[in-house]
Amino acid sequence: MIRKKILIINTFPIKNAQGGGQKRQAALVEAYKRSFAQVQFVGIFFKDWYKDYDPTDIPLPAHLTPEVHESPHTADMLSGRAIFTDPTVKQKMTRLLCTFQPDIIEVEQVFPYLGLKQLLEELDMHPAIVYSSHNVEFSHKREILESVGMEKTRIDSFVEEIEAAELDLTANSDLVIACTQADKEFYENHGARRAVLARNGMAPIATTATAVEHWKKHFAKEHVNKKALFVGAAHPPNWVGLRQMVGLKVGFMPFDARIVLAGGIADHFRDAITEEYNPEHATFWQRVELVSRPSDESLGALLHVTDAIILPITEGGGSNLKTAEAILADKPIVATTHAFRSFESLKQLPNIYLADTPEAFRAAIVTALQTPPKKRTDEEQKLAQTVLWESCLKEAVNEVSKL
Amino acid sequence: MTKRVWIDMTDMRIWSGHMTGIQRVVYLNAKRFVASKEHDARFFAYSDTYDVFEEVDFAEIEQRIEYVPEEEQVAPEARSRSLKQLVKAAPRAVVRRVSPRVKERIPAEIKQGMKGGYRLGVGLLKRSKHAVKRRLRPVAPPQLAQVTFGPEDTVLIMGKSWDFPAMIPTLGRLKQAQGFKLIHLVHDMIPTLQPHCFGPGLFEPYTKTLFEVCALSDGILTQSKATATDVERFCKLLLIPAPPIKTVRLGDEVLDIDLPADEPSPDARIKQGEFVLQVGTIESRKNHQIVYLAYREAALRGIQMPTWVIVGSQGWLVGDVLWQMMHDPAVKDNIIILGGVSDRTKLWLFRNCRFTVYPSTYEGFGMPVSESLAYGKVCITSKTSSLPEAGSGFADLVSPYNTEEMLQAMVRYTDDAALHAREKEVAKYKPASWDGMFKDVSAFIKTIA
Repeated sequence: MIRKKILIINTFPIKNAQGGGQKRQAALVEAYKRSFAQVQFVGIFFKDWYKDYDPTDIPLPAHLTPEVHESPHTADMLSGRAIFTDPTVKQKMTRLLCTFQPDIIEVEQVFPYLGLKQLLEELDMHPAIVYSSHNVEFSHKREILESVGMEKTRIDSFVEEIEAAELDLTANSDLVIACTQADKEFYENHGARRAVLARNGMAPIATTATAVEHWKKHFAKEHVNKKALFVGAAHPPNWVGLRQMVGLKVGFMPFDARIVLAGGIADHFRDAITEEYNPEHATFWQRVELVSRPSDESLGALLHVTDAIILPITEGGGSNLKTAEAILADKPIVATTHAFRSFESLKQLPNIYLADTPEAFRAAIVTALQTPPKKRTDEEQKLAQTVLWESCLKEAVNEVSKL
Repeated sequence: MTKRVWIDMTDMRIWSGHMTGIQRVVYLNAKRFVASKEHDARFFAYSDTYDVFEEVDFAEIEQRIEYVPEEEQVAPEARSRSLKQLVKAAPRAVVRRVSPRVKERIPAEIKQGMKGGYRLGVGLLKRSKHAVKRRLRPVAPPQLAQVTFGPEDTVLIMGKSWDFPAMIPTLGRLKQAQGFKLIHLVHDMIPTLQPHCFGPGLFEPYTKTLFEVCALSDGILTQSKATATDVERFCKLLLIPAPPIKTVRLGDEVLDIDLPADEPSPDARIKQGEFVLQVGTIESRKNHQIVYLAYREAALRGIQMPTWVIVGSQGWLVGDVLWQMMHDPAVKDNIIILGGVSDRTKLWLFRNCRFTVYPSTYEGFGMPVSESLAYGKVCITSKTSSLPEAGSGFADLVSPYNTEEMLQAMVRYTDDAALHAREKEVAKYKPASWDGMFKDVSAFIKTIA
């Protein structure tokens, strides 16, 4: 066990992790706990969005609520800045830093750095800094804000702030952990002293016989013989990708097949596909089924019973937890090339259909549902297991331990 | 294994004296399947209660239809209505009993709101009824003769499958399990393409049913090339791989009743040769509005118009226009609305009208147009959708949205010479036969099977 103390700071909690970012963070914290004697995680977050959090997490005070509502897609920046600018948050962070006295601080995504840098300077603390990136944030934020229709000058202002902080953090951290090979190269080209790749992975898929039986009965009752599953949060790259690569016209799906949307993405489509007298909206539900916010157990069961997994991801940085999940599930996968970012070596596994146009993607879904899948060899199974978190984070944890 | 053709007779199960256009298509083709012996024809109906398909005896249906006394062949005020239809008609019956003076005092917005609320309620009730039915569906009793469609069989549906939202999906599951072919006649796509012509509650079940029909059918029949194009476009829009589509021509219905030349008028107000006839359901899509406005314009200009005789029951979204027509001092005395009539009366009206009008905005075919031509009568109809096809080059075509065009077309035939000249051309029209339709349907089945 390494005797150094490591503090990880993010802008969301990780208790009962649901989303991809939370799961990555939770996996990193667990990995550090296996190597470091003292590990502390703190999430600075907006309370209305997370029902589960730990006592050590810091909710944003109520007076910041209007600001969050006004610009929800920059709430992470607000959380980061609050470390220095909000008296309540600053006081709690100061107490934590002074009490814990971390040897290493891992800044998750760039946002905590917006306030942390000034606080550390004020406290005259100089721990080793690790920048753990989930995406190249400034370009990722621009994509998100453009997709929600924010006015250009505002977007430019936010992006400028993030870019400055991200490049500063890259150049001044002792280690950069990147999610994809492309991101790693970006940071190396922008002044990173050391960079290591830790792509997204997965915990082993867990479920119960009861949950599996529930979904088998459900689909049998609905007379659904073939399912193509897409799991995702209501995060713009998810629904943008689905709309682009699959669309709302579902006549291509066989009569007894369904696209099953699980997670926050289900809520997005439930709220979006409501236009009266629109034939696409009226018939969308003939071939699409929603599973809103499934538990981990339920999700595991869906992955077990599905006949194919679709990954219509066309944008967004980082590597895709959904891709890791799909590979681990050992089901036919229909994906864009973009979805396999940082999983390039795994494209050789059997039952993977890559398609980068809507026509090819839809045709691939039908083929994947109608073609009996090939069984993986032992070698292929071993390769697939490299998507587990343990394997993905090993090198990064090793590098951090050397700091 | 024997190849059978199973013909859907669900529409004929609850029959109440007068056949609708769709029922005529189903029945007259079914008769020919029995007579021809070209196919091993069997008949079935869908049970919404048990969600099963049961075999039915065509002879029993034939007897009910062929031997109904003439006085009972009046629609929709038929005496022998099923309870379901009586319940459906009850609100209208109540409204009819309210004094006109009372009705006049109710503001138009309130009446509109009440109508909208009623239709919305009916739609919601139907949907919840179907949802409850799905959950509480009883098991079919053993004595119900459930059909087993064989893998070499063809199932032919020419009726209103959209009236039973579970029918096509249930058939689809059977098809996947048993492997038979499915051929479906799509009469039209109007509730999907022109939802504004109907009240709330029809667009969704209709569109969903058509979606599954297109997805599941091995072949689709349509009544016009215009409807075939609509189906192709619908499939393309929703990325459904379109099955083969064949257009078949409906037979023209010329009533075979012995009616003497001196048969008196059924209504003293209707004089031989001095009226314009419009036959068909009175609903907004049939566009009585434009004829009314043309009559109004004629009144304004002092043009004497023939009496306008309207035959048909009241349908969607037409209450306000009817009220105006019946109360407008400029035209009300020149309009006679007969509602449903017997075949005998209908024959008299066709034989003795001056000409007919049918300015519908959208049709799947337009039977009243070809009927009119089959009777040798000039017909003014629309230049949209399938109506030019129904006119076969012998009808006068006008824009259904241009009052002046409509008026001028009608005024032209107030002149005897012009009318007779046109009638000479219309006399060249060759009526289509139900035998012809059956032949095409039969050939299509053989292609698909």
